Amino acid sequence: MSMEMNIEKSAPKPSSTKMIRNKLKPYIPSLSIIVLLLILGQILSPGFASLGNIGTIVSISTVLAIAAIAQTLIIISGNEGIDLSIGAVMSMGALLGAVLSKGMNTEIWYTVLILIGIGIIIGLINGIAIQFINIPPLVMTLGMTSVVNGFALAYTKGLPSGGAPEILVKLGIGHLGPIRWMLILGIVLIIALELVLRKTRYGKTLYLVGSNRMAAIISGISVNKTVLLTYVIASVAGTLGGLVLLGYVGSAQLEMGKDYALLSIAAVVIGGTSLTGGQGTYLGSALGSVVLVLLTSVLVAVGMPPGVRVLLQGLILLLILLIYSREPKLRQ
Amino acid sequence: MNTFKRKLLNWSSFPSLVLIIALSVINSFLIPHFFSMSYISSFLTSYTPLIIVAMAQTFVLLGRGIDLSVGGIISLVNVIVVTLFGQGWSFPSAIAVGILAGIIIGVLNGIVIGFLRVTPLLATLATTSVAAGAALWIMPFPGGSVPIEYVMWYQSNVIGFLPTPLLFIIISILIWFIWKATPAGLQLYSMGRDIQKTYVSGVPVVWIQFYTYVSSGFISAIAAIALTGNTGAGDPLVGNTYTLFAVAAAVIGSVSLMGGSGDIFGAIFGAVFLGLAFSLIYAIQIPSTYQDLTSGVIVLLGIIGASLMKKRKRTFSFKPSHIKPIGGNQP
Repeated sequence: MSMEMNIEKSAPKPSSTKMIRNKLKPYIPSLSIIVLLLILGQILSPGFASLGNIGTIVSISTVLAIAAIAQTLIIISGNEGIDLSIGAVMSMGALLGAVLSKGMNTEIWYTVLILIGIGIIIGLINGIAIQFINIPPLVMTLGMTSVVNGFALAYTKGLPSGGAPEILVKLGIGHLGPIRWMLILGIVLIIALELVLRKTRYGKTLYLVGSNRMAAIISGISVNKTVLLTYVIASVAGTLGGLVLLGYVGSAQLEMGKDYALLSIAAVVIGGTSLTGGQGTYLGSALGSVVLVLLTSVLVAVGMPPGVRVLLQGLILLLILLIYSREPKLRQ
Repeated sequence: MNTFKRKLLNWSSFPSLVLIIALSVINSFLIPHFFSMSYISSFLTSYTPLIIVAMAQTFVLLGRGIDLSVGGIISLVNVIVVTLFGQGWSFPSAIAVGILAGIIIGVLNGIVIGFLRVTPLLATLATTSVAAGAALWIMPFPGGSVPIEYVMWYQSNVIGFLPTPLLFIIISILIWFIWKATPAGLQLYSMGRDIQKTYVSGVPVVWIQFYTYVSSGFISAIAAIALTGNTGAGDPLVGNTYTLFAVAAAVIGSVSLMGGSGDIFGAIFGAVFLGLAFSLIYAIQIPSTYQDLTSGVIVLLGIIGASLMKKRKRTFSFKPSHIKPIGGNQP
């Protein structure tokens, strides 16, 4: 109804509907795959598209979408930016969250503050090494993965203790009326990130830095500051995302977030963010997260063993890459 | 003699050689019998897989690519060999199938990256998932065994005094010399420096890329066979750490991540350096829960150190390779 009115109103300017269509266009593949997967899941395993199961899928998607915050921002920042450490950072966030809070609500703010602090430190180390010592992001974050995993192992002595504070559990699996808190969190994150990317100075700078670093430097933009800030935001999103993961699962295990590194990259690629940097949306990555979680759920629902699931995830990522991100021919 | 000295000093692998000598001196004080034949032989038994997989990575890095799937390939080959042997295959044929699997992943990488033009990083990240998933599918939990004769042979000496692991290293080095003997060797370096110009000069760059990934898959499979001789069992996650270690060893050995510079001996030195550092961690008896952290920090510091050294060198060179734009330094 309101759509029709919109069209009528803008009749003299036919470009308006076109604009809406153009804005929606990048999301149509993801949205249609989501619908298709839901139908496929329901056919293969009745009850798949039930409200309860969809709630679960949305919750896990939100966790993945948090990992995708880090990945989206870093990939937009260009220079072959990528964050392979996000899975390890999330695992560590969950583990430290359980140990530091001792499973008590009263300790939660202290825990959050410490995790933010650790996130800032990890982000700064990544950013400085990448920006000032010219270590490729891939190698630096791969190295950081093993340091962070090692730190989590050393800190917990291999025996994770404590549990999720009640407030995190409530966020992870609780409802506000009929709506899951995780769905609310997901929507809030999408709106917040889109606002940051489109409306703030940081967001606009990020796109420029990603698309053309030389031009950014010449126009007086502090590229170093933007890139450092991006890696810091990414790692903080990782440690706090670990807390959310802890709330959803209820207890912490070593390397529980390992898969999120690969999945978040896949989500960003599905979301249409260019791997060369300088363009992309967070909404796309969030929808990509839903696609991937749905896909995994379908594979679980039809009873695929874990190994086959990982294998298929790899093949699907290959397929996505072939569709979305082939490089131009050398001849051109 | 003087030209030899100059050549040695300018050799890209020279800094890593110095690092090895320095660390060996430290280790010789802290590890008893460090310079004994038996210690060297046990060192090679443990770290030959790392040395070989670093070589595999070097081929790809020289062509300005990267192969993240080497760890997945090692796991896959390991579980295939162990599983087939467990099902009654003869051990040599199990090894043959294992190596074939490594080559197949390499071919997959080569096709997707070379012919279909997907970024190496993401393509090999995806094939890692394929290889690691297949490994987990074939053998969900660690287990199985290989003939005890093979383990004994791997951990002993051939021709009396040469440790058997050296045989594996020599085979891998031979592949390097095959590359160097053909035009492909030079074309690889050229492609790593400037793929566009190399393409324009009529070099079949797509095929060169393809061969680097196939070589990497093949050599990683050799590393897996060596690793199986060391562990004597199957483990679907055994290769996980090797991806980072392989890249780190190559970087420490002055193989450029930007392609076109470094050589396989640098990677070998880098791997030996990491091996020495890891054995030092064991020797000074750091508690086992801290070992992962310590080795991670060493690897990271190695990468940072190697990159800092290269940056320093660039600053002092006469040719400014990195010209700052006008106004770049203004506040």
